[in-house]
Amino acid sequence: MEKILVLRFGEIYLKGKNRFSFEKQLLDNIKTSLRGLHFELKRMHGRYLLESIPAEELGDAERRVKKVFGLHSYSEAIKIPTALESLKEVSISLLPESGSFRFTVNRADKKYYLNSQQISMELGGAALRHNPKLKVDLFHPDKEIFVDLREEGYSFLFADKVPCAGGMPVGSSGKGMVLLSGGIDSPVAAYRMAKRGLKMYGVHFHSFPFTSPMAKQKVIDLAKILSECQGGFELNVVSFTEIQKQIHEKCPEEYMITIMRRIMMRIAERLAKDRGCGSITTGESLAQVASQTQESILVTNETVETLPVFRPLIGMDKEEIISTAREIGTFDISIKPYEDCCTVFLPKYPVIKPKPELIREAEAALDYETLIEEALQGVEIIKL
Amino acid sequence: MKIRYFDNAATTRVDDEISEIIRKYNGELYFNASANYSEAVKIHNLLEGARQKVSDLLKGYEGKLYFLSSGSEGDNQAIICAKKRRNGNIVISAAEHPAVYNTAMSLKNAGYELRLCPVDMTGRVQEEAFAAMIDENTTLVSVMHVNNETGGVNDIAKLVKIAKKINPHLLFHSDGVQALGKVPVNLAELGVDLYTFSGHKIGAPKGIAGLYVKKGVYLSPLIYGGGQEGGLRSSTENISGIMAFTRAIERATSEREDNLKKFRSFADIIKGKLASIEDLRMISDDACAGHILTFAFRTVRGEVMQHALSQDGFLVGTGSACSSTRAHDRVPKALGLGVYADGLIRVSFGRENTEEETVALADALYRYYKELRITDGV
Repeated sequence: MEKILVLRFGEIYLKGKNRFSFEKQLLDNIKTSLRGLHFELKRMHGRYLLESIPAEELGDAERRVKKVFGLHSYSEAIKIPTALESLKEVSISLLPESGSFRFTVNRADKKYYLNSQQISMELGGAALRHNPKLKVDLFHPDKEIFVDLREEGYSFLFADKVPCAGGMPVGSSGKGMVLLSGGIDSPVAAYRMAKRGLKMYGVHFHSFPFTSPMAKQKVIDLAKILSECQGGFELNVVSFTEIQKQIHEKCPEEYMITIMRRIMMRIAERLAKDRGCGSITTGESLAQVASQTQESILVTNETVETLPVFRPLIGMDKEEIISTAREIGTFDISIKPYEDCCTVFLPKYPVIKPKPELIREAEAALDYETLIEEALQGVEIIKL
Repeated sequence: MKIRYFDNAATTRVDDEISEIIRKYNGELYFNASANYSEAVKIHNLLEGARQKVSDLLKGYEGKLYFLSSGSEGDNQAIICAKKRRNGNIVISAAEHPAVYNTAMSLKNAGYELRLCPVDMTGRVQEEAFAAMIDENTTLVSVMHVNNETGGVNDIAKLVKIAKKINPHLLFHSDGVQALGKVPVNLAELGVDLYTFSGHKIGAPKGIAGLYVKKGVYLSPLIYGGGQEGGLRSSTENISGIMAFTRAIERATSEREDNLKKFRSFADIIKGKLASIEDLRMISDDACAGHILTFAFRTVRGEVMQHALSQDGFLVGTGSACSSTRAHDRVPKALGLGVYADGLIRVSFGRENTEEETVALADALYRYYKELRITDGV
């Protein structure tokens, strides 16, 4: 008796003629997410079957498929050679102690001597004889047991459906670059864009020795979670120390954060284009901090000229963001108390409504083109 | 990159001698000390022999030693489970390790009055203030023997006398985790009722520690179960840890004076190199336990210096972890460090440190100070 997984996809159903390419992407993503495990992946009229998984890898496989975007739900199914007696035995084991049930039988093996209705009756009869407290309800059963008879001489049975991540297969919308700070918001922003089918790349700025190696490790840990959701994640770690030092020395303190963010956006844009990303994503949420006002966003946004900047969290409350962060498992990592490079040189009174012309003027004190070039040359690529 | 480890107050390396003991008592003599066959009886006898040995080394004649899993557990066991007077007050020093401080705070939340005794810059309790805090309602006192951030040594014997003179019924606990093997630990002379000490600070593995309980002091268990350790601390005896711990205590005791001399000379090397730096404040003084040398910069944050040093393989400790969260600034505040609170660096020596690497550390400290002080946000 082997346990297999039945996987179902969601929104792809809505697609028309291009459905094939979405499905291919999804299949690839499932395979990537299961990298390192043993399995056979088969397509079967609108579903996928994950078979031949060793028992010790089953839990791991379930955990991973749950996170694959584009999958709607999965079921753990029991696979047995088709024989009426064993079908009865297994189907009974899936039934509850009491309440109503139905068997839904699908007979792909048309040569089998009973048709699907006859099989349901056989199984139902056996179940009722086994436990008289049960009753059949074809329309509103408490528990529905699915029995599929396959042509290859075996059947599988399953009951419960476990929800998966939903959304669109990662990669079906192209690639995107997210600015990952290590805080609560940016991983959630990345997650939401990945859910809409973007294969996300990340850029993180760190200021060693002013920030700790643990702060970087924290971002790597967050990237690992994102990697599980989208099957791999490339994190680009950019050293920001020299740039921060120069801003600290040459620019007015209250503009520091704004200028920092402008340079980060420029670096992100160049990295994005180099990696073939069609957009930049940030975790900004309106009015959360001084750099997330309309005026500040205007001033940082104007540095990105050739790509759209997505801010999926812009209208979300902190509580809503936290709730997603908890759900996807990034919250506990994000709240670890290591500083990111935004907080190291934090000015006491950052400007809340920066004026673009004043910022440009202050920024002119820097040779930022050279600084950006140097930063890009030293980028550390971490593939997860 | 070669690691030059100067954070021995955080934890220490387990060397081959101790590793071999651990291997032996996991690989060959692994039997459950509480079982009923002769192999197990042998383990039982070894275990009791070790207990006797540790007791002899620490002069614990007037009480009993219990083995448990960590210094934190020992502190919790002592503070939570000692029989205390209802509505009494608890006096601890303001510079206690979180294992004592947070445990005492939990008792405060349970209704006890908690009094924090002020300390000087090296974490020594101020004796007059201490005496003024003790009264007839004081039920428990906990003062650490050696401060983990500065090496400051409390005169526990004297504090016990002061406290018991005012109120003979109170219980006196001392966290001796940083004292064991570093300053003389003579439990009979200290006069404490409860004393915690731990293995991994002196070359034994993590996961083994001891609690001394003076005769007549009643403790209820923190961990219930099969009744090991006289019913005080259930769980299968960690025989490999206990044997390793016993050897480590024995070794640290015999080497203590030589190590101290060595550590003092290492401290002098660093002090000499940094003497010309004006915005540096030496915190550890000559009265401190020699294995810890703590100082603070005003214009370079401790954490930044720590990261910079780590690039060259020098691993040191720091006091305050992170200025943005302020979760760890309780002790620097209690020590009265003011503008130096963010700049704390703790260098702690161990038996394996050499003069050569100490000279290199002193040079690196000086070099990074010059490099980092200009730009660090203060």
